[in-house]
Amino acid sequence: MVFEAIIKENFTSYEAYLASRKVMASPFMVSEVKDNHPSSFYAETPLTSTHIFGEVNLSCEVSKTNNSDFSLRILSTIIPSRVLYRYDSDGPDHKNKVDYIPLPQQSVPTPHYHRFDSQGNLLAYQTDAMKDDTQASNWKDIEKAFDYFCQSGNIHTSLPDDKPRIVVSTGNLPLDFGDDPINGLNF
Amino acid sequence: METIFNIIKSDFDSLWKIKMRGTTMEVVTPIATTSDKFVSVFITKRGDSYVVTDGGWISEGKYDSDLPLLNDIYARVFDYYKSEYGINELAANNYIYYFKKTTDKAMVSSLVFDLATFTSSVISASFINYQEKKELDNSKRFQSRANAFIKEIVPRDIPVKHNAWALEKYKSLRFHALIPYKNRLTLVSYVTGSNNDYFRNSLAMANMRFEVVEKDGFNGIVAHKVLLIDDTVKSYTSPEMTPIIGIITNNAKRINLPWSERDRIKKAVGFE
Repeated sequence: MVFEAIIKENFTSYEAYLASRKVMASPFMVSEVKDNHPSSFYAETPLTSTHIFGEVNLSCEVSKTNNSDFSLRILSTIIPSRVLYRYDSDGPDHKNKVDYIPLPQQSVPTPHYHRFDSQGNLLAYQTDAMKDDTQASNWKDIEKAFDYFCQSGNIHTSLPDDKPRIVVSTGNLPLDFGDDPINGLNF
Repeated sequence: METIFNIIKSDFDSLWKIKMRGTTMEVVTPIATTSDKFVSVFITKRGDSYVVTDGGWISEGKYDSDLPLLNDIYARVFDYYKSEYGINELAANNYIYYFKKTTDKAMVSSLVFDLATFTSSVISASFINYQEKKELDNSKRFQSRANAFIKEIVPRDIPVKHNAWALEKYKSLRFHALIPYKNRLTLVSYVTGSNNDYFRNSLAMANMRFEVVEKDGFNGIVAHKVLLIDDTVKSYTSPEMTPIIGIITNNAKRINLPWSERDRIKKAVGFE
């Protein structure tokens, strides 16, 4: 795919960008219904860095019916798919489709991060903390997971000693039916 | 060779996983999509029946694809797989849930196989380019601008649906936007095209959708039918297209709006 070649050719710059200090406006408010997924709230906010790697935004999509189901992403205009770095709290297992990973290890459950390898493959992986069952609830908590995401992505606010915060505003809507996606449905 | 077979079988077997979600069981299958996701199916009991469903994950975009159901060719591919695997659908919570059910426990595996193969097929097929890149870019551009415009003018508490059907009987007739307002629906179809062929086709499809609405009689639940026409493309003013546009838009039962006059929609549909 095109973006594989773009990342492969610019891999050093990609890594330098992810490692660079990035700044965002805080708190990051997530309250708009997403156009193509009306059951999600979605927002993007710009990230600034001294390292230039396209126009970069931080995004968050969170399910209206399950607040522990969300995705955080660093997006850039440099590749058509936009995703440079991504965290998924829930959803399908990712398949790391590369010819050097044996099939049983290709399957990576959520929660997981995604980032590109030097060949331009967007690979999913779990950190040791994600594999630790005693910490599972932290990775499903959007405020804690956002904090981890900002730490691993070197994302800060413009103020010293100030942590970026995320605020999901559900308005007057009901919500959070838990993580059973078919709870209460009559088929 | 038997050893190799054992390795293959063991490797495939290792991909099956389960996660309990309340009383529902998520089964991660070894069947994957070309977007590099392993397909999950959800199994639950409702009365005497076992229900096997995608859990709404296809329409929720969990496989990193929004199905291009407004594309005629893709819609045929989708309908083929849906019918071939005997898949049913339920609309709820703004999602479509694809499912099969049985009262026979011995048939559950077969249903899992059908649901997982269906999911993999329709997701993977959605990544094929059905249009030339120029047209794909053009239709995405107009759709994105028009969706943003609709979001801007519709009061926030109204749940607008995009690329959705209005009546279960006509699931194949999808509209770019469905706006529920005061117990009735406003249907919006967009028209654009990077050349005359695409523009003509887009206009014809939009016209056909509205004709079915007008002739079937489900007009009763419809407040307004809006044709939002992209007048920024060359085809809009081409001598070949203007008479056709003139005839299609000469219809008092609809609100026909060129993009440059889009602000009139607010007054026309009563949001002002």
